[in-house]
Amino acid sequence: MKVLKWGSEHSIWFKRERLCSTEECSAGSGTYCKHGYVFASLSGYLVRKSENGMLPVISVVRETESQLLPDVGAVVTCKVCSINSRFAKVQILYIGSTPLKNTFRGTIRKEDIRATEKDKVEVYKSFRPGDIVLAKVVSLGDVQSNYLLTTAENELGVVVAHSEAGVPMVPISWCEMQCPQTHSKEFRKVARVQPEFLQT
Amino acid sequence: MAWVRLSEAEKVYIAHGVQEDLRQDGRSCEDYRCIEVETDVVSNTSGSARVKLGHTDILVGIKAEMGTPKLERPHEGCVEFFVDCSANAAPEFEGRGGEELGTEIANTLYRMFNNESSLDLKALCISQAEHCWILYVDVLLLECGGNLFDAISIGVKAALFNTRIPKVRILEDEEGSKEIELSDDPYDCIRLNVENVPCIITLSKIGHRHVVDATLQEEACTLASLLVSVTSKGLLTGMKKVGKGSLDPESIFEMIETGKRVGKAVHVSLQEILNKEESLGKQRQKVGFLG
Amino acid sequence: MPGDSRRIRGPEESRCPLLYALPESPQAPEQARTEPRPLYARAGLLSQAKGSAYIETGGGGGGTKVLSGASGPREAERRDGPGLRGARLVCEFRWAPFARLGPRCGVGTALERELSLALQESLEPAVRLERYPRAQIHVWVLVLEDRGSAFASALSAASLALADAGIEMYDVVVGCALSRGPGGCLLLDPSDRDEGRPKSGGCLTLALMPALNQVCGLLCNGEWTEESLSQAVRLCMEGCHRLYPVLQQCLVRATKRKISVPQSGPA
Repeated sequence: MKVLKWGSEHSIWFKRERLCSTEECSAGSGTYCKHGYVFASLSGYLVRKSENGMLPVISVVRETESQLLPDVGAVVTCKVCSINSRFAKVQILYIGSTPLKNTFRGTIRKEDIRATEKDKVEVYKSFRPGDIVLAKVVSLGDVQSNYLLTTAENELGVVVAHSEAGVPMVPISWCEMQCPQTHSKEFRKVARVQPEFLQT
Repeated sequence: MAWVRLSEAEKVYIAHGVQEDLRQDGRSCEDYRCIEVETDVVSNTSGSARVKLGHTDILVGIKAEMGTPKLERPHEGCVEFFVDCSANAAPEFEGRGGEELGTEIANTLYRMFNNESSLDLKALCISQAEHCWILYVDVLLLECGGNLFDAISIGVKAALFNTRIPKVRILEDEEGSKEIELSDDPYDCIRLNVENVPCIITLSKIGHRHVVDATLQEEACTLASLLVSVTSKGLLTGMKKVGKGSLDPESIFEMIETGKRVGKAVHVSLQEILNKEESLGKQRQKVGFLG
Repeated sequence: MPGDSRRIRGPEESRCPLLYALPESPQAPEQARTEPRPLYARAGLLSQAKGSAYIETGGGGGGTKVLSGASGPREAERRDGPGLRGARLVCEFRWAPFARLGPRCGVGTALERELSLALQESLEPAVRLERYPRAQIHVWVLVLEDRGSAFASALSAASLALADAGIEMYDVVVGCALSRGPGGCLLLDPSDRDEGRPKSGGCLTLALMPALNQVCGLLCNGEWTEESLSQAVRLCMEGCHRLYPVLQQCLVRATKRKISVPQSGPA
């Protein structure tokens, strides 16, 4: 993969005389196809990448992070706002590793907290307000609800939680965390954080 | 607006039918559904009309009241439009739900009547800068079955035709103080000239063609439509694009042409009906609301 | 109209002195004008809005000045209607109270609401709403000074602001207005005097996506014959095509200022 050309002279957006025909290039991000041609849909820099043998992909680049919206299947980092016996309400702060400019509200329902023994789950033994949770988007929700999230995977769940003494707790099992100061144990749905997420 | 939900297959079916100039109910693209018009249906108004167009049911009542002319137009009376989307028409309209649509329709009516010829507002002036007639045109949506704008504009025209405004005289005594005297004779009244009152024709773009008088189902397949207001002489007194979609320039010209042609035909048959009803006078059998 | 309660106003009733002005003497014979007035556009000038644009048309002796801002996509507040699959576009169009000739205008008048809706319906075809499911995009336009064709400038400014905010769009929307003089001659991009003249034949505002040649907004009043209306639509489209390069240039300039050249891309 290599960048064939980019530069300020290609930064023209919405080119009247479109970018190219769909036979020359396939449309990447920030572009769209119409009448057999590729048009730009963003104002940014033109990037043309070609993989060997494949049609080059043409895309328009801009600082796209801020555009990101939670999508089904995305792993998001969120903060628990409130809990009740049926669900936990969270605020989505990050999608993958990109921070969001505007936070979105999400819901983790009781049956989506863990994969097994769903009927024995209790929300208050899984999350507490203020916890930082890794979760996955399962649905964009319907008219009444907002984003529906799940933590029913080993890698998903609470990553940061504070004890009642206000000290960050240390996970001791998949369902318990301990305060290093008071040594009191609290229940959480703990995530087994994958090494690739640990880089800071 | 009241919506219906359609599956993709249903939409394709309707679009293909329109392409072949044969719609679900057997009409061609430029055919209206049967329109029922009855005037003088509510006794306490100056003029009223009820229009049924398919499942769309509109009641228009006009009340003439006296007021002061607008500062910038001292020689003219004025017309005010209000559209009330009652919850009868669609459950979404409950509470304040219909307000948005109501203001949208009222604003469109203002736009289409905002010209010199539609209504002779000078005839509504009683004495310059002091007294004039204000016509309150209240439109009530009883049932919603697509093509609201057309039905409402037809209703407004019929109600304006039916409107009778009592004659008043201004009496001035020696000291210069004025008094208003209302005529006792109920038949001593002014009528409005509705010859140039426009009707709105909605042209909905479905696929590559456009249809007039779309049903709710057809409206669900429409991304963009054009409202064209046409007078009986074929003058266009307003135009507006509504909906989420965009239109081809060529299709706009075609739509203007169709709108004008269809609009003139609507005016002719409407006027015919109104005259006929008028000539029957008291012998007319009132149909009313259970008809 | 609800009064402005936050402010102590003068007398209950006041009038604009222009009411008592003598009726205007018949103007010099009008010339049909097929060129839009010169336009100055700048994007990305507000620091707090995600995207913004300013457009000035007319120049000399005061022109129409329009400021627009855009924000989003952010979480939708209201989730009713069929807008679940794509974003909701929320538009607001306002005049500053002192923007227009004649009496000061209040806030939230029927005309402002009508034009806000027209603005929304004109921009919706251009924005790729399906790219932002469940989100909400805000655009607001404030007319600082109205010397004619304010809504047309508002259309252009709002679409520039959206583009400047990095919202994916099919094309920039360009607005252009036209008015018909009493003699029947067509004036492209009319000034407020042309618009407000009594007995003017009518006004038309058109919004166009020039690259796709699609009309995304159309608003017109007055009395027209079929021929004159078709002619007017054609003239407006030509006007939009003329203004398009100016808006594009402005956008390119703003983009260069805002984002840096990507560093060699993902290798």
